[in-house]
Amino acid sequence: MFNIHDPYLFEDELAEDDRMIMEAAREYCQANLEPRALRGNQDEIFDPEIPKEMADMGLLGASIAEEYGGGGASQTAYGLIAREVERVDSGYRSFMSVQSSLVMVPIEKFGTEEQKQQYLPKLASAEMIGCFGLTEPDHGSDPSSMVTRAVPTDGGWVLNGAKTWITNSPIADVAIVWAKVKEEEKDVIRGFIVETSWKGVSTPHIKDKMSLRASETGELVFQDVFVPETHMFPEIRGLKGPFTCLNSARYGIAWGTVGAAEFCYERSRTYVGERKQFGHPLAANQLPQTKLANMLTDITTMQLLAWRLGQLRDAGKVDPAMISLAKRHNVGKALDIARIARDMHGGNGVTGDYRVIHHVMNLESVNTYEGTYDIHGLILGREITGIQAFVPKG
Amino acid sequence: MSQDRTILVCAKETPDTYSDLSFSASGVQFSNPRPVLNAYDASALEEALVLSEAHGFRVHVVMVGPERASETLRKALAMGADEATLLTGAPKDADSAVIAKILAAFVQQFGPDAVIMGRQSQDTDVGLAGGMLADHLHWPWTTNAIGIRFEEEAFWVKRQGDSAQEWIASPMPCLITCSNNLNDPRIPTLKGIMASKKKPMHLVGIDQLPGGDALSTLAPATTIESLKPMPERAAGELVEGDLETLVDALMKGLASIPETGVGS
Repeated sequence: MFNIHDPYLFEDELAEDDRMIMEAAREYCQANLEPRALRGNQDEIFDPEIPKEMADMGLLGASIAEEYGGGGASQTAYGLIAREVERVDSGYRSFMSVQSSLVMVPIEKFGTEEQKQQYLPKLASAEMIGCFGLTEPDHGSDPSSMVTRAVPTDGGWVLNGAKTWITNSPIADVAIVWAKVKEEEKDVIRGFIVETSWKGVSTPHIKDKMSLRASETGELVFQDVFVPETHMFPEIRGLKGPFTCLNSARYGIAWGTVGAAEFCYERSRTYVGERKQFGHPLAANQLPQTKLANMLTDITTMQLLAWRLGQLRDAGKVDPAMISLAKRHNVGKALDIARIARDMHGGNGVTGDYRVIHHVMNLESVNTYEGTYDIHGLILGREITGIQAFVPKG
Repeated sequence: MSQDRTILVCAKETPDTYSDLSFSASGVQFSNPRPVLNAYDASALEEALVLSEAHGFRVHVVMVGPERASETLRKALAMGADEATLLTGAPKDADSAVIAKILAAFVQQFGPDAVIMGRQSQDTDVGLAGGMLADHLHWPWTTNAIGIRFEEEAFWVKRQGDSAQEWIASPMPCLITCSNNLNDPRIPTLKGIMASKKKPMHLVGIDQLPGGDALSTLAPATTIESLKPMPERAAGELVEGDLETLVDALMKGLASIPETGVGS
């Protein structure tokens, strides 16, 4: 029998552990997150119980080593979790991605043993919430031009600067902050673990977002913040640090948007089956049928791309351009699918109840953050032609 | 109490009830081919785990099924069961009578202090295996449990009636079949799933059980003559007109229903 949710049966190819994790995550998300999604979005509520629930399920730091409180699961499992969370709301997935990929991953990969022991178990249990500061008000796609700076002082560093569009910052206890320091007369990007309770740190909330409304977004402002030497990542230098984290998060997005697209497709399929016009269900017409066929074809490519990328990450054979390709393709297709789903729902598509416009609005952000659609196009373009086109030649 | 006492949970895997299905000559096909743990048995397991947490029972889950069913059984381990046994080699057309005999052979060999299981499976809704098993074992059997507690060396089972609830005390060993209103079964956590890999899962051919040779060739007590999709409801008739016409049409309609057609 043709499976209209998984036409090429990729779920059958998953390892048993991964499939069990996927099913448990699906059960949790549908039972506990889906009922909150409408009000969460309409009223801009990120339920403070969600981090603890996700932690209890083991969804925070799923692929971090068990000795640090993580789940020890595969990269594929991490992706499958992202798919289930984003099936409900990209905002909830953003919270999970930031905590797991942008905060726990750098501490595990670049942190000292002491830093790992101090922070990872508390981040896995949601006793602490984390955020990640790279983007600045005037430096988005071009992070190497950042102006946030740390200068040496007795026993550590003094940090000054501002970061913006920081998921989780208003509720965060700890921030991974990337800042410039002078090393042998040159500016070098270094990473710091900064606690938001420290003197001089503020985390103002960004108001009136029309997208990812159920996710907390804010700024990180540093005014003469003293950062002890013990809170700098000892070795990692340059953009490789933040890009390692971003690659992990972008990989999760490639999976997450599969869930968002599947939700919109499924809602559209149900809607055109039930909604009758001119005496027949909308589904009896050729236009809705081919729209659904296009959606399912795109979803199948998205599923297979994400699944194969997961295999490559698990095998340690990933090049960042592979992640750019999948992030760009999957988010772009998910956004197309969500917009068409909105259209197929007619007037009902603009109400919150059907939740398709909710995904449209969310995916507008997802298409932009973690490397815009066009920037990932330029990453691929550089690989294909050997010529970088980020810096204009005009 | 130490973990020298065991609750055995008998479980079955069933098709996913959220799956789309189609009928063909070869039987029912499901859009999601992956079976799930029967929801009634999941409730039985949840209750066994709660009793274990409070009183230290060891929880063992047994399932009759093909080797592939080990994934469903692993979910039970991921939820928190200590150990599992998959009984393989049952006849393909096994019905409740066959399953009850296989389970009886296992229970007699294994000797648990109680068997807790769903009152029925969510696919066929037959609900006979529990009663037949209790009969084979000559054990006290309490049905349709909506609550279970362990006190004074007995299982106290709360049953739901139409207008009242009753508590029945069962001495050990006993068998309890559970409603799915008993509890809300826990979702396996990621840590539970990872830990389940290290828990014992025994694959036992039913020919290894006492009386095993006879078990593998048991004939079902029932045969399915045919399997058809639910008939579509016939369209209703819309009657228009004044009150007299409407009453007249209603009386004619009522008179046309055969006596045995309603409520029998």
